[in-house]
Amino acid sequence: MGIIDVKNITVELSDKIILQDMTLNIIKGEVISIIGPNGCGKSTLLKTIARITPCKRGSVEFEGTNVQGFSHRQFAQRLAILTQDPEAPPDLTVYDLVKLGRFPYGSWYSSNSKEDEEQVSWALAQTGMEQMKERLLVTLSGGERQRAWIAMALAQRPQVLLLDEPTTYLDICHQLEVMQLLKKLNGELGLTVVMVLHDLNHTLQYSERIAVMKEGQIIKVGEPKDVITDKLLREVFRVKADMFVSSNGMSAVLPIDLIKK
Amino acid sequence: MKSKAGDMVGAAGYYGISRNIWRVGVLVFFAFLAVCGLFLSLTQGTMNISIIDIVNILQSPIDSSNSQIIWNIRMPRTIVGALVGVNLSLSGAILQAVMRNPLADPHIIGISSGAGLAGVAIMILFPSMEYLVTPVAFVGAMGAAVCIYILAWKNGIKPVRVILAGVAVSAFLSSGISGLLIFYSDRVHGALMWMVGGLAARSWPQVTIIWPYAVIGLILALLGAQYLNILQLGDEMASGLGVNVEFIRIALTAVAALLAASAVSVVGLLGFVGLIVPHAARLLIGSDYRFLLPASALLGIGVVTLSDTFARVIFSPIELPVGIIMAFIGAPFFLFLLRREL
Repeated sequence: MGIIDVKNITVELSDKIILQDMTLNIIKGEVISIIGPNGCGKSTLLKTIARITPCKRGSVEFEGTNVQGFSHRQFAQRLAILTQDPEAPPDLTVYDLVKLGRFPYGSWYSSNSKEDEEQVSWALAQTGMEQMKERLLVTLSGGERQRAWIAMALAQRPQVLLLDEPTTYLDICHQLEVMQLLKKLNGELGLTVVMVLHDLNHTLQYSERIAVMKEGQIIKVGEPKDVITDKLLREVFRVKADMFVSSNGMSAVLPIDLIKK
Repeated sequence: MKSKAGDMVGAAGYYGISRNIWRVGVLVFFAFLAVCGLFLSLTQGTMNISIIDIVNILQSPIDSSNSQIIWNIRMPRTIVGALVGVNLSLSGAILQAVMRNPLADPHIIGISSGAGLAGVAIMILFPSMEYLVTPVAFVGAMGAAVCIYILAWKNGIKPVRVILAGVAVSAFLSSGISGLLIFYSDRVHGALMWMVGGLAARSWPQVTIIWPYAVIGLILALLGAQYLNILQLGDEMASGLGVNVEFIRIALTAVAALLAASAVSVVGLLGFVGLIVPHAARLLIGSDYRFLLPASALLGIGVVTLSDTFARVIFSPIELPVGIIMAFIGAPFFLFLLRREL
């Protein structure tokens, strides 16, 4: 049993099958990346795990309990999700945003409790955002903004954090900053991290396992070096790629050419 | 990293003071406007009655003509105006967050067209039953809102579908209003006054109709403030934070619909308040609904009572419908706020 067990789920959106009979176990405390071509259902999988998108058949279980058995707030105390490119009002500060992460624990009359304040400070400290807490979200750089959103998710004190392409739109420095932050949170807090990524090198560098999706199904799950192979890149992404070993001993991949059909 | 002045919150940063002091200041200012509106509405008119006289009348009900004017005309009219301002402003503020659209107002969920057609139909087709206008308009408004919600339902509610269904249903109902006005062009006067919206001849019976909605609506809206804040992050993030998005959206839309329907069925189609007041309040106080809702309510009181006073005295003894005054003065003022880019 994993912390999350996706059991034979089928998901349809406007009568189109997006995920078909999919099964995936997510192990407590791991960093797992989900990769696959555009439109293969990666984001839908995240949203189904987070209960945002309902599944037609099958079930998602959190520590053995069907996720539908939790109240909305109970579930938000266990699992946090950062969707791609979330919106915020223009006058929202970092502090305001992180404070919203305490919503699952609050009721309208006790929103100022000491516990909330401590957790907000903790989340800001974990993400290195203390100095910027009074700043408006819109004035932050892309990397800082992503860290602010991660701080909000941390304030939920989840066991599992789902992220949908957390590094999109970021320059390489900020990409690494976000990836290293996630790795740090995983290492220090034991936070289980599930992320959809496009950059194969990030998945190789930062994840313990990789799940590869194609056309609504998972076709391979395993350790990065076993999963990302020349053959898989040809079959799934239709690219020819060279594989290297980088200076830190991890694998790296460089796509060189498309494979014509 | 040092925070620069421009990084601070909107208008507060503009004047270089802390955000909460700024917000409280804005609330105090809006409350002051509201009090001014209430006093002017009581004192000004064809007969000017001083504040001292009013205090005396309120303390000891003597049977003078001034007492009659205050007790039977100005006091209830002022209260109706204030409550209508509260209801429409809160309704608009709620809908802007729930529909995640800055143009959302009570109009968009069919309240105006539903109440409009129902009210016009009574006034034109059954003029002898004009006493039924308020309940029928209320039913019409809620009927149109429910109708739009059902039409927009397809595996849940998407704000964009609600807005588009609202446009379509409103256009459909408006064609009914236009048809009635054209076929019975000899009877349009009352209907036109209704469509513009006004407080003339509104008295204690209207107060008793509207106040429970105002009180309950205000309480429910304030309870929903944190939900409204979270809905502004988008449906998916809101869901991830533990909000039952579908339920909250229906519940808060219903609150907004009841608030607006109770106001519109009493005073006619005051279109302007629900859109502009929440925006003006938001430009000054920001989009945190815990502050924005009370600010909108207070500003709504001020705007409606001041506009109504103005509408009564400007061409005295003839009075204009308050809806005209509000749009005429308020729209340019709103554009001024917008251009300042606070």
